[in-house]
Amino acid sequence: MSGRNMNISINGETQVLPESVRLLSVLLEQQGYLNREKPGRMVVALNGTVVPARDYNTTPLASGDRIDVLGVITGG
Amino acid sequence: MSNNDTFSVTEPVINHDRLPGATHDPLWIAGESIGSRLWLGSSMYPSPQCMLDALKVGQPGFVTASARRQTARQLSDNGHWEYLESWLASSSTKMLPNTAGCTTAKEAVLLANMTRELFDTDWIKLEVIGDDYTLQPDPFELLKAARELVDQGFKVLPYCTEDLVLCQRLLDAGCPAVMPWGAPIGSGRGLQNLTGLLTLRERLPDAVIIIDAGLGRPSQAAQALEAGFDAVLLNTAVARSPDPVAMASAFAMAVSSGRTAYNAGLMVERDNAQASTPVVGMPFWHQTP
Repeated sequence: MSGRNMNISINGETQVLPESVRLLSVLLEQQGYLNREKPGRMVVALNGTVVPARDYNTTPLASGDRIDVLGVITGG
Repeated sequence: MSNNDTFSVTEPVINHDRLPGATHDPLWIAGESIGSRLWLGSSMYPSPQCMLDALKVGQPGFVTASARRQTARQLSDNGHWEYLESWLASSSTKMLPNTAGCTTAKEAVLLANMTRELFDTDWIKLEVIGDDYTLQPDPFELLKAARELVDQGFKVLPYCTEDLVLCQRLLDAGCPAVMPWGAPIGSGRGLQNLTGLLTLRERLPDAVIIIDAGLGRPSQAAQALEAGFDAVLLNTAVARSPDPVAMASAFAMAVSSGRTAYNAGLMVERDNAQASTPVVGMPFWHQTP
């Protein structure tokens, strides 16, 4: 059904997205993670489970999903 | 020997690569040779370049880092990671991700899995904090997380206290080493419970034990290595020094010195003085009537 929206939490912030954003890869591209000149190293978790980069294109999204995108920080 | 004959006295040239603490005395953990007994954190340096320079001088066996939520822009402009990545690619230093900030086993297991994907490594410095004020590890959640991560194929290096039974349980769970604190993170107080740490060393003679956190001075690192601990991991003492690069050098020398002393064997302490210079042949003799 077109025209419906999904509530997706991205790094703790809920966003209302069109249902056309039904794949993780589309969401990551829409949020600017994949289409930068220098994308940077990152890891993505969907509802608390790591999604390998090779699976971004085949991972479906549903309303209520929780996405976390983490990058490297310094640490001790 | 004539008066014209003189001894040539020159400054000794120290090749740190040839010190026993370096390449001739490798540290093995989980079947891998670790290049140095000094391990460094990557946080709090004045700049990424300063961090890189400190790493070049310190030549650490491991460097620690972590993972946090980031926007696309933050990922793209991650200067520290670019410097760190270049160092990892050109040195023998290994990456050791941590689970800093986790307070439950569940959180730590998820973050460990995320760092495995992020850094492409099975090594994990497992931190599960039980008290916000002292940053003391939660031993119960730590052991629970360690068991799960070992089952998942991680090489788990747990940040723990010097509690003997906890360390034994962590080793029993399959951790290839344990990392008791010297003192609370960032405190710089050194080996706060030396008696407890020495007991740990004595009771677990075959275990790899790394002193993690609380070291503030190179002499404290040397003390740890002299006592037979296998390595030290520190961050603040180097990064917060007014000259982090010089301090990294000082710690590298201290670690080599301490390990060399341990291998050489320390003299036994005595209660009383014993003259080093022989008294036989003195032109007079102290005698009490």
